[in-house]
Amino acid sequence: MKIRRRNAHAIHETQMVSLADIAFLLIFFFMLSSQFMRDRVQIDLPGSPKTDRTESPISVVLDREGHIHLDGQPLESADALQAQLAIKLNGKTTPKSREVRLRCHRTLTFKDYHQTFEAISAAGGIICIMHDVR
Amino acid sequence: MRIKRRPRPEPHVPFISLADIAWQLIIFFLVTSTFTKNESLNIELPSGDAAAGMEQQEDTLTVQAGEKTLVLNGEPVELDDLEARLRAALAGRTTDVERAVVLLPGDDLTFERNLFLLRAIKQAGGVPAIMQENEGGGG
Repeated sequence: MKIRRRNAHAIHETQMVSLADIAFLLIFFFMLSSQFMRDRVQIDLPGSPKTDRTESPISVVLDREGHIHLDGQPLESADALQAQLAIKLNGKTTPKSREVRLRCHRTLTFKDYHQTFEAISAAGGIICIMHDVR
Repeated sequence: MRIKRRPRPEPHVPFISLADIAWQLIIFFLVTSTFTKNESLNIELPSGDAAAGMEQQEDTLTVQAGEKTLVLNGEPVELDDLEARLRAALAGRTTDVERAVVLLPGDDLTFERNLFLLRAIKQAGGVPAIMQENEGGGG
């Protein structure tokens, strides 16, 4: 009996459909996991070994000139910061929910940042000093 | 005369260019993404009555810190030794008031050095309280 050979010249196609599927899955991953920058102020953070972590959505920034920003919005004074933080932290009782991210330029001196420390504490917040890991 | 109809071309989706666009988008996201850093030092500073109570304690540990100077209970100390010295001094103290370490920063103390000090106090088991030397008030 004569056995028919399969076509030896079958065309080897790259599976472009599945390749595109994988690519779009990756795009969706990046789009969903990306957090667009809330803090547009460039800060040179201090370095320190790892200690704690925070997932707090509340962000206070002290820039190079010592200007205060709360969640990206510039504020006039530490008093304004305390008032706005008190509203944000109102009714929050657990330590996790009272955490406040503080991003401060590393070379600012105590006279520049102590009012911000006091404002966060007086509003009932836990200060989470953000730093680079060194 | 009979005119032959041309066969209709089959609809064709250009998957190769679709994949090319998709990969370009991926590369864009890879290059522009900056991942959020969540490393922090979390401190709850006592304020009001709690801070005043800590200050009134006779045996409260006090750290006076400038950018170049560091004094623990009146004795000069190196930054690297601070944690060990505090740990020894805090041994046997249990309550928050007993474990309070009052930090008296000078005006020239940078944020980075303050972070080192607060970290050393926390690592040693102390409860940091920041007070201004001229005020002596809550912090």
